[in-house]
Amino acid sequence: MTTAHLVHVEHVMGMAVSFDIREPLPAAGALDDAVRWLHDVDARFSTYRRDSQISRLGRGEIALTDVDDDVRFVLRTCLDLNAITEGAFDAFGLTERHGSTLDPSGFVKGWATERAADILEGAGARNFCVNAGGDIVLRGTPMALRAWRVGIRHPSRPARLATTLELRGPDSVATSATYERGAHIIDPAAQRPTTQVAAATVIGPDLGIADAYATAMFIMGLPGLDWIEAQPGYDAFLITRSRRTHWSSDFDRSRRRNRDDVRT
Amino acid sequence: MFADLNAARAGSQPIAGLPAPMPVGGTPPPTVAGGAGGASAVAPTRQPFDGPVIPTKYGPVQVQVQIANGAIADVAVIAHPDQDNKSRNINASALPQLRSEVLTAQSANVHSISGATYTSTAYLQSLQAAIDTAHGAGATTIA
Repeated sequence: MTTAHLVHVEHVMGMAVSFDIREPLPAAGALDDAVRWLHDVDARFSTYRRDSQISRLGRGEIALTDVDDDVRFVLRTCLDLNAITEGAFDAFGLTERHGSTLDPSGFVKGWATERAADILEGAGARNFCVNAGGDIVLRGTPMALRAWRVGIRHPSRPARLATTLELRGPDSVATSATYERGAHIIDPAAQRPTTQVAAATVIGPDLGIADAYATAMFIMGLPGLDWIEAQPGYDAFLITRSRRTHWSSDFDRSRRRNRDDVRT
Repeated sequence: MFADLNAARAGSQPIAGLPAPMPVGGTPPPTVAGGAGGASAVAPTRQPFDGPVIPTKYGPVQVQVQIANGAIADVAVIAHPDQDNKSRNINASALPQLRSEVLTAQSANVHSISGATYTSTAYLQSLQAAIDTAHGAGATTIA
């Protein structure tokens, strides 16, 4: 059986974004539109570009009344996420002692990827997977009667998968982890890297929210498992530093996971 | 940009603007099956497919997969021929990891990998790069 694939890798927002589009393929030009959208988001939101609206806002050169609707939406959502995660997701540097930094990228990348997926869907695509730097938007299925198989990278053994998930779109998967480079997520309250959790994966309907939740759970540690139970539609999988694995209780009910292949 | 990628997808054309890809270090990619590594060890049905050119701090680099019978038979990291020692270093460190990750993916048959692969250099060394290249080449056993 031959099925048409449309595969494209775009380097944008400092990461590789992989598109794997199955039939029915979108109308001509839709992939270009989705890619153009991601570059447009990068130009407006990047903290690495001095002239982005976020950078200028962070330096106080422009006011909130000067930014466009997308930027205002993202900032408002980041504020909501800060409250929902009890401060664990912090795009504003609210708890930093030395000045504040504005960095909504922990939500922006997932949000932008969801909107790119919407562009493809609006052009007729139904079955595709977009992997944005390890965070994934799934729509439809890879083929009839099959689920997408998503591997979760092992936090300390790069050649291994910690587990695999079988998911049907619309769904999304975000993972926050330290991997072999060492701790890189800073606990906003303690102002030091978190150490309890090696990797936090969150699955749910919106990648921007899943990404923010994964960051928050990384910081919350094991108490985050109780917290995620109260977030409707979102499930989590944690790997601790001591290589124990934890699943939120709804995981089995709402998704199929392969319990046998956990390798930690 | 897309024209380059279409060329890569077709697998028959060198990437526009770059010389024909060569293995870093000037030797052909050895085979996974433990063959001698020379051209004579490559089965006639095996076809190389180049992934997209990835901009890294070491310069433009690509992942190349060898497809045989719809499956990845081998994977290599290839680079612009006139690159310096740095690219040889990245190749030496990336290749064994990439190979073992491909074997993992073949056995797990996954479509995509979740986990932090934020930089383009990290992507190059990642399983996701091999999966994308294999999909672009029409491989069937990786998903």
